Amino acid sequence: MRFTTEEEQMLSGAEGPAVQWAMEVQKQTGEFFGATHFEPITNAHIVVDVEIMGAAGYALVETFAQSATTRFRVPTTTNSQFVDPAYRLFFNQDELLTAQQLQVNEYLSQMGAMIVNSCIPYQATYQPHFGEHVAWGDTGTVCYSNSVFGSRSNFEAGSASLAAALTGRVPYYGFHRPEVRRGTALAEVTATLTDFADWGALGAIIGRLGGNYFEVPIITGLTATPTSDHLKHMAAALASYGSIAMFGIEGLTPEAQTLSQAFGKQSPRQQFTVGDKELQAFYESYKTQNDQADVVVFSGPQQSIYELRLLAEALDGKRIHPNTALVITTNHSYLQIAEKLGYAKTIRNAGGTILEGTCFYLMTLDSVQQKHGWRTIVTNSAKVANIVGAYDVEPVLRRTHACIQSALTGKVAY
Amino acid sequence: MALQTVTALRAIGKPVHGVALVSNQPFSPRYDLNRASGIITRKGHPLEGCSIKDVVLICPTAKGGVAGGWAFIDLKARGLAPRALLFDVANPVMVQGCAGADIPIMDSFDEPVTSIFRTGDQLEVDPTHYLVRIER
Repeated sequence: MRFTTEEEQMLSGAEGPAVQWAMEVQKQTGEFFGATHFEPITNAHIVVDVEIMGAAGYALVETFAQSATTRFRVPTTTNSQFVDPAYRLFFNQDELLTAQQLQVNEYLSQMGAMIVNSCIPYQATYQPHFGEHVAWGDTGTVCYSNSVFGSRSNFEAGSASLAAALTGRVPYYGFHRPEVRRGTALAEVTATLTDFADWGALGAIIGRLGGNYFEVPIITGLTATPTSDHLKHMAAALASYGSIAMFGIEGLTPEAQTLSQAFGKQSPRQQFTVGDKELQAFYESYKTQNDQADVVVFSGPQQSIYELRLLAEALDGKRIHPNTALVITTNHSYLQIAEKLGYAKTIRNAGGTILEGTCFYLMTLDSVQQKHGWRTIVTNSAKVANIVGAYDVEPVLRRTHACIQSALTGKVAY
Repeated sequence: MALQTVTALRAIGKPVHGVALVSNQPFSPRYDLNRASGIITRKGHPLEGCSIKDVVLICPTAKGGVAGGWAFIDLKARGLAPRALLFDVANPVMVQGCAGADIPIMDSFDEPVTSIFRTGDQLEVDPTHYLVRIER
């Protein structure tokens, strides 16, 4: 890789140990992927969650924060974290870990981060423009912003997103390069897509077929016009099931206005069709041993104000079943709007719990299970259904209306 | 005992020895692993019940989230990390995680990794020369 004089100084340690560590990690990553140089970025969205970083990661951030000169070089926001401290006891989450998270947030603030704890920055915090280079650390956010805005980011893992915020640059490889953003697979969609869960299921099916990080599926044949929330669920599922960082939709996304624009000179390496049959089979792959709905989850990604309104309208004047919990996650700003507009009150009156700044799959589910014993998790999020499979639970993917019915009746609805 | 040498196009890290643990499914430390024990716990995963501690973990590709960055640093500090990771196609999360944790990683071999390596193979992983020596 070629380095500027400033970058050589950063690598040498002249700008402090935090920057030197960050540059070294980024340099090695760049060398692996054949980057020729570093690209300046305008924004970083970082994943610094003590649930995943452990004592070693905590110590690293603590060490960096001890130097008063350690500052993030670009505007930096934080992703969802494992706990909403207001509900820690209800969810049986670790007291020490929570204290550590709050301390880490102090450290990050000290370094210049805005603690927004959101996995939907593209809806709530910052919308990078076409061609803008950023370093974002949540896979769904990267997939959404690369595809829908045409901004440029690779998946920046927790430590790598922190590194990018510290250096204000990223190695130039992957989705920063125009040629990597060309379509590689063509997905003809004939399925009828009406619900957030349908779009998530579509993302999951394509993600599984798509293969790997460098595949860019181009979707054709859609008759419905998706909203931002539909695309949010699809992007999250594409990234979750397939490690996909970018997709195109013919005529909708900026780099796929036509199929020839999307694919450039290359032909699709694979083509497949996703119809109602495939969609139904995907739903049926989520089976449960019994029909008791222990918890119904609207999360992963956090809920937008439109989703919160929809839930409030569906729950207005109703009461969830006493044997079933209803858990909703959103970010601080949308919760504040939901409070003002009365949606939050309606949801709470029905028995729902609204958490801010977290996402269900991050919530140390083994601890949650110890207290609540939840086994069957009903959700309209394909991403949540996928991730919680690492725990001893039975996820069930259902459309939003069926999830609401499950919460009201206590039985898994269809 | 047979010896074979295979080459990769991309690699970082220092040379290590280890025993191969091969999966025909992608891997993620968030989705598949009990990070407290280092054991793969996802139901139906081909390596369900296996520990990744000190093995050379071999998979077609990575899946899912950004957790890998911190997860490998944490696993390494607690002595539960694999000695190296080999993929057909790695994603940035795995490479960034390995770079941060000082774990060797390689990808893009001449043939699919599942046809080259078998669980139990003794491997000499040499990223500095982009090659892996196999003894079985």
